Amino acid sequence: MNVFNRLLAILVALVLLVAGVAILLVTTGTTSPSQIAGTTWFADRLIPFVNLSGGSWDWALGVSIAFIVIGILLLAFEIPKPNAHAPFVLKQDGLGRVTLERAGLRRLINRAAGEVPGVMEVRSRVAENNRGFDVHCRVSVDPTADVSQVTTSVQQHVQDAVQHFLGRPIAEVQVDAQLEPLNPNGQLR
Amino acid sequence: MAASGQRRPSDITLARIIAEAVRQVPGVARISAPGVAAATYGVGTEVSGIAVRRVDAAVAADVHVTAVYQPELDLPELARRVRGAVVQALKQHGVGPIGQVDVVIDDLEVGSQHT
Repeated sequence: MNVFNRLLAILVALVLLVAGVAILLVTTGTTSPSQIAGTTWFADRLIPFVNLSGGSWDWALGVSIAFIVIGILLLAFEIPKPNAHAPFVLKQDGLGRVTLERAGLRRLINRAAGEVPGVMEVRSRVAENNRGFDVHCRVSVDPTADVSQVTTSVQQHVQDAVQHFLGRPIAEVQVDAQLEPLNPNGQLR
Repeated sequence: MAASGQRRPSDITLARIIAEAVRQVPGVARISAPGVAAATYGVGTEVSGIAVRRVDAAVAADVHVTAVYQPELDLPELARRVRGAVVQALKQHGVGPIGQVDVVIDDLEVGSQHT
């Protein structure tokens, strides 16, 4: 779907939502058309829904709820969502695009963090924002090591590695250290 | 037929040419096989990890590789070498024009893995 169609669908969804909510509120007597409508034109459109009864009330209520549901579904479908599994784009130019899969970057980070003396196990998660990569590492530390020093070293090592291997900045490296082995089922993704 | 009298081998032949060139690039551990979308199919055969595309009159390709983790690793530079190898190999086989070459680094191969 191209951008124009997507914008049109979002506009229709918003119209359905506004109309549905307004009809619902007026039909149930929660508010009056003049209170909810910003313009006289809109208020005039809502007046037929005031003081409905019997089958008309049921229909108005059903249609308003249908409008709201369709509007929400259309919005949810059309608003683009960031893909949590999409690869990181390292470079894009006229010659093509260079991307790195998330698994590859995690392996690189795990390897870099694992090279720090005192680190027994590493698990990492990476996200990207406009400042660079946000890295979250969970490390299991040798009980005889200085946890604070290991944590600082991991931060520095990971930062240096990502900048060196990828040529991209790191926004933040968060390190959670623990003395116990990492939970094998606790995936950091 | 391609313009300017250049040969136009089949996609599977192009994929084989590309795969052979990419395997020779230092720093590439192997060509990855991430899924059916990144493969080129011939009659009873396929080349995984290389997807040859025809964009207008040009030959374009998606190349999936696993890189070797080493201290001197520089992924943008590795991707540049992969692109260069692909373009050179295609040109050597008289293929043209050449469009975009997208390089996907699927994973890193390390000696001992901390995961």
